[in-house]
Amino acid sequence: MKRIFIVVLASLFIAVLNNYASAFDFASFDPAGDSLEHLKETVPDLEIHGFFKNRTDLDLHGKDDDVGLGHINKTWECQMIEWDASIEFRYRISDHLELINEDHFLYDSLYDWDHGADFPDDVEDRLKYYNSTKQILRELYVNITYDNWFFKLGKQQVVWGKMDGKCIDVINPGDYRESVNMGQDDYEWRRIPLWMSNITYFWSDYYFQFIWIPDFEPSQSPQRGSVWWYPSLSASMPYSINKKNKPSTAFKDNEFALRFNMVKNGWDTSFIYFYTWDDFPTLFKKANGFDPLTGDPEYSYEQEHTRLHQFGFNIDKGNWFLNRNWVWRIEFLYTLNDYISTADTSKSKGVVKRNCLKSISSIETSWMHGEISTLFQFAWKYQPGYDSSFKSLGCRMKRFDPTLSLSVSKQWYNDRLKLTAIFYSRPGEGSWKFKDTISWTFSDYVSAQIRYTGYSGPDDDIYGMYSKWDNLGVEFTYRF
Amino acid sequence: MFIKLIRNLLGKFVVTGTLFMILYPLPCNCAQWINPKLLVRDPAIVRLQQGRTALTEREKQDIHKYGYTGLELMTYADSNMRPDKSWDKFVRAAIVSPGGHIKYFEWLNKDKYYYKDFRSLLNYDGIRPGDVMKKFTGIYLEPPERRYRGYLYYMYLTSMEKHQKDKEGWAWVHSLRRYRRSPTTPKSDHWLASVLTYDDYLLRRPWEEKHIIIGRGNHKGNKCLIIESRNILDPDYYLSKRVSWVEEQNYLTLHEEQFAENGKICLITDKSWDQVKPGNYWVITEWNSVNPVTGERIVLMYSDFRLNQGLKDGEFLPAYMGKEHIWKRPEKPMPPIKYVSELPPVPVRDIEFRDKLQRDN
Repeated sequence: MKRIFIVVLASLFIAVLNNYASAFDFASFDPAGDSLEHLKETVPDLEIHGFFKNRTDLDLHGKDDDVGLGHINKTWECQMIEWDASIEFRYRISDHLELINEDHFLYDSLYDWDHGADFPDDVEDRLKYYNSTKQILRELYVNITYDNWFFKLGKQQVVWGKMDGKCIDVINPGDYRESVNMGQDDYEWRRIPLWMSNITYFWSDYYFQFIWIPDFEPSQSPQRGSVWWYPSLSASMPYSINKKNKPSTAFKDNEFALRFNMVKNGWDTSFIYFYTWDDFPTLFKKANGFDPLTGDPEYSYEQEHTRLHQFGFNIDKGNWFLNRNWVWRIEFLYTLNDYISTADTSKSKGVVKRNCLKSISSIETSWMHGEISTLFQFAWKYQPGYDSSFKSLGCRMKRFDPTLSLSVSKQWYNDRLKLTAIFYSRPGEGSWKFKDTISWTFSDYVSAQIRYTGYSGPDDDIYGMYSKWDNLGVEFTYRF
Repeated sequence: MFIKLIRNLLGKFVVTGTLFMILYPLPCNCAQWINPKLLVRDPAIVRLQQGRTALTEREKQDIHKYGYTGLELMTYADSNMRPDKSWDKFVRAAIVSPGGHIKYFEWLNKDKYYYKDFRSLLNYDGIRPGDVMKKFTGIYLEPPERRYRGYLYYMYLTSMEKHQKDKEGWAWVHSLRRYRRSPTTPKSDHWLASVLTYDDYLLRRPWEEKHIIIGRGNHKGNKCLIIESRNILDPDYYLSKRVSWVEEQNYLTLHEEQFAENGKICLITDKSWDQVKPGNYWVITEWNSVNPVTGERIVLMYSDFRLNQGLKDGEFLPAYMGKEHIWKRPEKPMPPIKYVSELPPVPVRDIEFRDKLQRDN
């Protein structure tokens, strides 16, 4: 497998070097586009776009046994051989009415091609390909523009945050199958769209947004036993869950969100409120008497989504300093009634209810005629009412949990070659993650990238636990 | 019976009349293009802008010889870059790398101006330096990687004293489904990774340079005055000088040559203009630039202009980009440009004038 991967990588490298001399004309390679031109002439108000992509991540450590606190057996050589295809239809019914549908197809050939890999059946069932209409029909909505009003009705994704990472980006749940390996660009396809009414009213320098979500989908953590399952936890289930509750579609169980925004004197400010369900279920422990033989207490577990109130705020501004423009941004999110897992045996349900404060701030600028961009970001989570018994992913939780990141990117050859390096550090834990990406644009339609991602730190930290998951990725994309 | 008939007819008339009023497009009350020299009335406002109190000797000579100062001509030419109160247009751009690789862009753009007329920018009538002068926004249609990406800029009125904060911008990225403020780049940065800088395309103001008229010339049959301009704002400016061919009757810049810090030519530009109805405002229809040293090019083609639509302020809010609304389609859709042969001829240097100038000197 490694040999095949290296051959692919070498071919890509040679293709890049020989781009101009190559007999294959990348500049005009657009088979779908040529066909769509004819369709465009026939139905001028219909736009069809899409992409086809392959993403392959090679595990640089390969197979290994007894890794991490969860004693994981790594049986795979590749972490992903994912084939993605998307097709988007936009039909303009009138100047004020547009119908949009986006379908997404996914097949991870890791489960067929990496013969040595051994995964539980339910992992393959869930992660190998999209097999339900719910997954394939990614977005379907109408845009209605009327005077100062904008209505977006249907299945969609709404993004409120502006940071690399999530703070006030709370509306849609996510498919976190790749855990911390997920990059900012992956959210588009890993965010789970919901059926909702999204209404915005614009006036002067302000807008007000109201969202009503009758649909509910939980977020998907990495599947137990899959490549990116948390190495701090055992790959086999230590207990059984007796009951899984999910909010109903009844009006009382719907989610509601409000946002007010204004842009005054260059200050872009928003206030948000979200009456929601926790996208990650809470595991409630229930005492079921005592074992007649050992006398130990017996428990059953119930999984339930709980109600949350979320209040948020964000502000950003650009300032001139040292002869360049610096953009700074801050986001805060205060969550009420969150449940936290605890090792304190006096808590009968194994959880405690607490509020939580989260924030991300960043500063960004560009250098050398705009060719180098830098972004520094400081993210933290503060746990009021903290207790040392609080747990997260089987590890001890921190009262104040900061993460720093620095992203640097540079472009060459009319932006065709791009190098991006992102370094994340968790100062309290001595752990880090590093992602380095080189991308090359062959034409307006074809691009490729090579990516290295490395992790380091102690086994009980979110980056450190993946220190044997360093990977080298290759990605090809054709857009039309 | 008769009364009933009258009532029916009247009712129908009221209904038809109401429908007619709603559906029939109102006659346009657009303003008309006015020759900037006539609009300004007193040329001293243009000649002595930015607090200047007296003309230089050279300017006095230029007035004597040509009837204008260089600054005056360049200010008139600059005023033609911003027609009417608001407008929208389609833009097609082909950027050619030295190796002949074409990057093709297509976008829809709309502009709104926040001042009375071009004269008010000189005498600060209703607008002061630091105030928003213009807002513009748009949505990309090509290339696929940029499709539905939105941009929004607020441009501020700058002056000799207040010139650093010239713009701020936001971008909507379709793939991320979010808008974000982007750091604005210095004026000398390349716009769209092309041979043009932000200064060339958007930011350069006439008073930032010292202008002298260096002669009369002809560009593609149009009589022009030729002006040499040198930046006075930044001692490390990336150009040593620019030379512009400004058409004499309507003050349209038809041709421009730029010279790098080492004095060698680094950019040649041809611009084509047309008058659009209603209002007969002048607009650029083609902007064709080349770096003669590297062969890098950009060709911008503008079409489907619509003037004075009374655009609302709300349309220039960052979140508005999230609508990804393509508010109009081109009248004559054209396929993307893939080959250099599909582009107009490369602009060339005006050798005749250069030789004449060398002879005169």
